Amino acid sequence: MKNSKYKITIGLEVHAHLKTQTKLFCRCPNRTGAEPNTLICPVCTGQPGTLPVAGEESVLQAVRAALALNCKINKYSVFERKQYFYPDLPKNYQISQYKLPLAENGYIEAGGVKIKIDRVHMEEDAGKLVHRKSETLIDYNRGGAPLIEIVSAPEITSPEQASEYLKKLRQILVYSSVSDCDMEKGSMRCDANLSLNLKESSRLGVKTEVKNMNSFKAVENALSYEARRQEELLLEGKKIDQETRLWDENNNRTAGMRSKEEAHDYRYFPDPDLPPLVVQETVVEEIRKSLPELPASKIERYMGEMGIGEYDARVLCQEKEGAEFFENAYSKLEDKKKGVKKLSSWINTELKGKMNTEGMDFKNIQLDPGSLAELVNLIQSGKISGKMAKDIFEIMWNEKKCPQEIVEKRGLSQISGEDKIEGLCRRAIEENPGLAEKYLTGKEGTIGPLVGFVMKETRGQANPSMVNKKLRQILDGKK
Amino acid sequence: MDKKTIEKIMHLARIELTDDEKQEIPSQMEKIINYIDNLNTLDTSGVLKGEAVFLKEMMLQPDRVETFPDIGLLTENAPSFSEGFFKVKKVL
Repeated sequence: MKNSKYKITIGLEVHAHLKTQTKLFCRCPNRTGAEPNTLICPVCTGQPGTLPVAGEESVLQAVRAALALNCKINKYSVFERKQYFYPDLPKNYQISQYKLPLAENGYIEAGGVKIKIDRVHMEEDAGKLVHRKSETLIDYNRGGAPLIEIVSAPEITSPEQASEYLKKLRQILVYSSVSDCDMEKGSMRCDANLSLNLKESSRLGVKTEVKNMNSFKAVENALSYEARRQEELLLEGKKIDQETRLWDENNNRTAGMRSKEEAHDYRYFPDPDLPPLVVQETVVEEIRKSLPELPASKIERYMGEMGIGEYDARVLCQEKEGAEFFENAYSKLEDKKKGVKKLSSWINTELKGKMNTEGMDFKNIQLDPGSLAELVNLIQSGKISGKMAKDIFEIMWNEKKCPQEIVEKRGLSQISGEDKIEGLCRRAIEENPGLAEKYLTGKEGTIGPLVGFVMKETRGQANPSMVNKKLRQILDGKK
Repeated sequence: MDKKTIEKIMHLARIELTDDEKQEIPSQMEKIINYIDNLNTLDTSGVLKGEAVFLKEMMLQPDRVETFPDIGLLTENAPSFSEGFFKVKKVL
């Protein structure tokens, strides 16, 4: 869409599953993976005469999420019935919030831009349909599960920014422990509205809604496709139909689903079974106080207080558990000021690399943050070299031992005694007279192989920079 | 209210009506709708949007699982239930 005469406007509606024990309006278990239709009751299957009662934990978690997204919590909010006819919904209406949502007016910072969040509201999930050739199967286990819907203002200007916004949103919700936000498992779902309008015009064009995107990458691809599709139509002088389109991952395209005109009259009205939801200011304040430090503020603190570069700070804060690991290890560094950079690069490269190849994450690794701090301490104090640290790290990872113990047991500590180094260097020169002579005639590059000789002799345990210095000292003295 | 609308409502409500009933229904439904229209004559300017008829606030229930003991009761009245699933004619 570069050099296009149109600009893109995107609004995102994100559903996130709350991590409660029970469903939103009944006491059925709120979990996935059970046999179909085993987590159901008269309420969530819409039996006549049943009454919904909202779960306290769902409300508290929704408030928590909304606060983490910088929203204002409405003291009064109202559940309404959203009517539509589809077998995933046994009551023929979904209990949601409409005119008075739980929270409004928040924002997320994504890629240096503040993107406004119009509202955060609560609603129940629908059942799951399995489409077969001749029939449709319904599993109501998910029906009635607690969701929050987070609606952004139509302020997102590119598919890349949409993906950035989603990543940030996910990070905040996971940090706040309200949702797992796993797009592939469906605990976070995203619908997008996209329209194009001429750059010089402020009037928004006709929008289409895109659904069925199961990853951040899919959102980006689907929206890029949709923007191009709309642009082509507009350039041909055609009109955009307001419709819902499904992203088809396999064929990399969106396809029309249903026309909105008829489908979109949901005839909302306040659910007479549910009185207004009142969230007291004291409760809001309590939750506000209990919120963990969120990534944006952590990154700022890491950069300011600890002197870590922005990139490293961001990578450390990608996951809450990762940031906790880092902070825990940091507290055990002997020289925090000097060690912090080494520690962050060990976590961001060695540790994360290892976790990637072994398919682990911070939730299930066996490595103790204190051990990694100890390893960095050993490097900092010159007891082991960086190369040795890598070998020791392997052993730590495989055998779950602390580095000090490994160093002692295997006699791995670095040789950095002046006399010992000097002896080693003299031997290197004696045994490689050719190299030494070349150095003396000005070919200083031969120092490399000489250092290598010492390192090989000591199985990597000599301090290489000391060896280098000492070799030069001895040879220069012979000039 | 025309015949098409009545037929659509019949379909949504899954009810059958005789031709005579189909003749009667429109005027009855219109009466109901007109009655509801009376509500529009009320002055609601002082009422908060979304305000409910209840003066009470909502009671909330604790986050403790209670499994429903007799799921069979929920499935036996379904028009079609087998292999653990409720079944309907295909919708896609």
